[in-house]
Amino acid sequence: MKFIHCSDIHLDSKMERNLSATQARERNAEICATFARMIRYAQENQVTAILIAGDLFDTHRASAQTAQFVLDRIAAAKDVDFLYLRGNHDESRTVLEGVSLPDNLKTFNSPWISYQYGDVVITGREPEGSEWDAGFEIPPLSEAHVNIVMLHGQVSTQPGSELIPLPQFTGKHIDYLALGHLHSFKLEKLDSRGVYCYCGCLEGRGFDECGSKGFVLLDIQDHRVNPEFIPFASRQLYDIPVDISDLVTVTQLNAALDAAAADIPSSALVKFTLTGSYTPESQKDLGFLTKMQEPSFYFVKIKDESHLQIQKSSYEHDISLKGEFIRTVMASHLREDEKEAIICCGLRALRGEEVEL
Amino acid sequence: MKLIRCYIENFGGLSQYALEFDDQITVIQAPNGFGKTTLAEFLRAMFYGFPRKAKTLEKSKRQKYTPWNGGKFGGNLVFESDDNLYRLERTFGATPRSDTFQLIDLNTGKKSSRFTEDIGLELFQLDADSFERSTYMPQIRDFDSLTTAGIQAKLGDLVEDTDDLGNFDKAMTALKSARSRFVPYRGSGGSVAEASAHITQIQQELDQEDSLQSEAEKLNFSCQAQSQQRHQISKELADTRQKISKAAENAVYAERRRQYDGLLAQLTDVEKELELLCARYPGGIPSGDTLNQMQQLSDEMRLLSAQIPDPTSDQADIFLKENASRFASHLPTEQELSQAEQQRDRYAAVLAQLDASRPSAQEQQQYQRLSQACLSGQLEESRIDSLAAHHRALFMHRAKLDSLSLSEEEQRRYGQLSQFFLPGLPAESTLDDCAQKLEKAAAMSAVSHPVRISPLLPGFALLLLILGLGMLSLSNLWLGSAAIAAAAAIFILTFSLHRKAKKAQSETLLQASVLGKQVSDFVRQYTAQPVAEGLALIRANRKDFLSMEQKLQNIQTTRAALEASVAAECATLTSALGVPESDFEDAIAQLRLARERYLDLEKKIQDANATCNKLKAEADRLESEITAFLRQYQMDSSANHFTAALSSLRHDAVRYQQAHLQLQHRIQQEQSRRDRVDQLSGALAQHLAPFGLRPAPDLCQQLQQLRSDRKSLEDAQTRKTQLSQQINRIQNTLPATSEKEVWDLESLKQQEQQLTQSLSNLDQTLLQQEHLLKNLQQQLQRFPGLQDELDFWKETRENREKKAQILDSTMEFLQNARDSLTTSYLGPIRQSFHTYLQRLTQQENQQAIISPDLEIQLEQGGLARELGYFSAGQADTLLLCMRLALVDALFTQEKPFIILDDPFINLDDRRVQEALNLLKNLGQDRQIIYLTCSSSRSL
Repeated sequence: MKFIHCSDIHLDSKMERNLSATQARERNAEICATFARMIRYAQENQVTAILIAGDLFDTHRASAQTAQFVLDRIAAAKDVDFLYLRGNHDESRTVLEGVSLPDNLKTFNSPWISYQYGDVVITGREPEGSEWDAGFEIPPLSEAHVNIVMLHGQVSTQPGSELIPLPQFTGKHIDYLALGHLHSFKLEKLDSRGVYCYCGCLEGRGFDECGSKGFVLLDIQDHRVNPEFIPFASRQLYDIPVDISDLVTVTQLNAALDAAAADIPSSALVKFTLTGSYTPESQKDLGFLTKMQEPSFYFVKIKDESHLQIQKSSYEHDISLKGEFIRTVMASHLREDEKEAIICCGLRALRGEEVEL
Repeated sequence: MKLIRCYIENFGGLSQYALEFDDQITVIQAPNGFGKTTLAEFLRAMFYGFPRKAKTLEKSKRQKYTPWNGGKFGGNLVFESDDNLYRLERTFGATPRSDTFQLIDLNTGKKSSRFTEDIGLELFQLDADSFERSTYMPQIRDFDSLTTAGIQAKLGDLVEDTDDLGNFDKAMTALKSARSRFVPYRGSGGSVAEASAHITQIQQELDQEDSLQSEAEKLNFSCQAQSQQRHQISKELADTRQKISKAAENAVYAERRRQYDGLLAQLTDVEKELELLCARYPGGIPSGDTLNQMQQLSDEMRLLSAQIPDPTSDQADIFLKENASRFASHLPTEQELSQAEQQRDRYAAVLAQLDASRPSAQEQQQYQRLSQACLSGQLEESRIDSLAAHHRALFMHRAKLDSLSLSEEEQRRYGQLSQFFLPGLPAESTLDDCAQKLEKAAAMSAVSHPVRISPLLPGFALLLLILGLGMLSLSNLWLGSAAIAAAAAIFILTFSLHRKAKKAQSETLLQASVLGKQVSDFVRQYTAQPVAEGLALIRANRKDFLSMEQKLQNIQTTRAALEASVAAECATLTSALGVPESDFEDAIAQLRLARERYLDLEKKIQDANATCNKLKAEADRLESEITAFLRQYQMDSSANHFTAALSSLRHDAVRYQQAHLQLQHRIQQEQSRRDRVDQLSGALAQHLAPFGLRPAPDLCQQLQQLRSDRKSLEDAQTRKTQLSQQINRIQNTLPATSEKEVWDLESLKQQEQQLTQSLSNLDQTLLQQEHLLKNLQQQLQRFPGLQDELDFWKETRENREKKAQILDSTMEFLQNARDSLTTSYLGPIRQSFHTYLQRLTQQENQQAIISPDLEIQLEQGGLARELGYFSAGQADTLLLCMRLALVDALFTQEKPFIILDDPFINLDDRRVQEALNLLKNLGQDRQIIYLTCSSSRSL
């Protein structure tokens, strides 16, 4: 028997802020498409049920159109059950209110609810409000069953807001604790019998969600749960650090970006993080570099974490306006990043170059 | 740097004006209108030219100093720099493009490239304005400030090292421009305002969210309430429809009762019909199967009776009777027939072979034609060989004739020689004669040397003459005369001899010339070459020509003989073959082919005749055997119809045999039919007996009646069963008791209609509200996107404001840096200013304040006052000190000249004197040009 464990799909959620409105709409559509693709995967691989461990939608953002799309897809996959446990982002189920749910979409609530498929029992509980209350204690689970428990929150040693007190779930005959909330895959041992697993999100949406994304396929044979992470995202996000020390011309800088992203597919969303130091003579033009890289990827963003490097000896005895200017700025009480910006701006103006910030 | 002299060609009011400069102070004292200021402007213009653009007419110095009286606009200036003397020459036109510049190194007298047209900037490291404000002090004070970017650059000694101070203004402009793009200094606009406008617009849209949300909730509540109302009406409608259904059910029961009574009446009728049939057949009616069996028996009997045939009409019997005489004794067997057919086939094959073995008519005709030719001897082999030999000879003669001709080269050569000897072929003797004449002329020319007289005779005559004259001088008159006479005689003799020899030579040369001309005329008939070469050429060509003519003659002789042979051979062959010469070869080949064909045909015809004789004998034998076979069965047939006769015989024999067999079979069948009819009749009687019936004469009619009655009985029984079932079924559905509650169906239907209408109205309202709700929800779905957009613009505005702030800070830091840089050089200027001020005013406690912009303020009465508060003389004094201080600060190494254009006009006498003393003192360090119109202010 096979199950799919997924979570944090965040349909209609807010995208990476630098994406254009068109790209943001496109990405949301792609996430819907990936969800539909996962359902097809389930049908083709004789999966019994898809466990959605929270945050299927983003609260108050999901459109009726998206909700209808999801319900239509679920209804069309009659041979697959969908066990939907709400997360902190879709706790209100706004988009599903007043809508008749398909028979194969099964939900959870604050009291514990269990669904049984042969000898596999899937038990879940949604948080009441935003905290686990005293009644968090899980009802007794049969040792003879394969027990899967679904929850949404951050694992912890103590109960709290959006926290899952992990010690309360040890020694309860749990084979697989299917969790949602964290957006990266994580599989750890729960106790001598079971494991707990965050499957991560289906598609990365921001550069805090880099790396491979997908779902976990649970293959249950001989009363044993065998989890396998299946990469499934249509696009991947990358955060690439690029050291620009000793690079002066815009050509050199662009070549460094090219080299750093040589193995990355063109479908990716890429963030270059410039590190190291640069001199006042550096032609570090982020707008230009972004334009140069944009044709190579679906989306490009350049974050500048490099710092200006000025040798004190180079301006200390420089009897010129440039030297006096640098001395004056460096002696001020501004923050270092402000000093860097002002010095770069002033020197560019003195060189007669166009002042672009 | 030092000025030596200048010459003004034309410049303003000055024309052809020359001036020598003193090393220290050059004083030019002249009345007003002389042109002192013009002179100063000339010096400035020589170093800097005129500015390319001027905003006002007053400042347009090009126009101002254009020569009043016309003429060349400009002049030259001699100066010393780095111990070198240069002459700077400039002329000015109406526009800068027509200006000229030239610098000459006076040490070498050549053009110098040491300085360019921008010599003022290169020499003083100051632009024109800075030069004017520092080294030139005019009368008119129209300067608000002494500082310019150029002076400040010089102050920092930065001109040669960096240009950032020079770029300060550009940098500030660029920064201001960049900052204006974010937040303009004047008016509205800028990208920050743009972001704010977006934020305001989006915020306004977002402000509608709450009201839309509230409206959506109200609408949702309304929808839910109406849904409940709809549910209630639906329930009422369902109840009404249930009542309608029950009322309709009662009506159905009444109808069923009526049907029940009708069915009972029908059942009674059917039972009566059954009773009548039972009375008619007390033994019962045979079953359907029995009747079917009886029907089959009856049909078979009728069929057998109809099948007994009429013997007189039987074709087989007729045929047997007609052919009894042919086949009664012996019917041909299959073997006999096959043997006869084989013989017939063999006969046909022999005839066909016979036809094939005979030569064809064409071959026979050809053979006859060839036989006649052979008999006439035309195809005799010896004749053909003879004709072939003639043909070969003809061919050989033709080939030889074709080869008999001159080659192309020889023909060309022969043509050239014929052309050469067009004037006539010279005889060999003529050529020999010409050669002799030529040799003779050459010999005559060779012997006609110039006439030479021996010098002995004139020498001897001269000696005699001298001797005679000596004698005469010695007064030996006779001897002297004799000697002279002898000398004269000898002279005459010598002359005579010389003249004779000359004449003889001329005659010889004339004769040689005649001979040469004769030969030359002869040669020129043939060639233009020199005579000797021409004669040799004629001789050689003659030899070739004769040789070729001989060869041509030989060819013609041989050709005539061959052509005769060819004509003879042609005549022979033409008479024998009767064809033109071109077809000789083909005609001979045809003869050979005809002979071979004749021999082949002769042999073929002989072989065919032998074969035909054998086949003919076999064919006759076969024909007689087949004819005999046919006659046994009364058939006469010619050989051409053997096939048809044999086929007919075979057909008749087979048919006879079959007819005989059919006759026997028919006799047997008739007997068996009669037996079967008797059996069937007995069987029918047995079938009818159990029902008390006997077979009627018309058995068919009897069976038809039985079948009809049987069907009536079965139909009545079926109807009775069906009616009983229907009666039972209706009886079960009829209510046991009658309904107590009675509804009015029409009123119920009206009620249903009203409820349906209410429900429809409610559905319509609900649909509209749901539509509105959907629209509202769609509008509400825009707000997350708008919120994202708002966040984006807020962040954008924050970034832009931050950038504007950075630009402001950058400008502030740059300004501070420049001020700081300038301030650091104010010390020397202030110190120098105070030194000059004390020397001029003789007041040590005079306090002056110099601003970073070099603005002068003088302390008076405890207050710092600007120049405007002081008299013109005091102000001039302060400005002079400032200029001198500036010059000291600007030029620390090289002291440039200073032009003072009557600067002390506002000073009182004491200060004038002090100022003049100061000038004398300064003149020791630098060159000063002092212009004044007053003798009181003159040095």
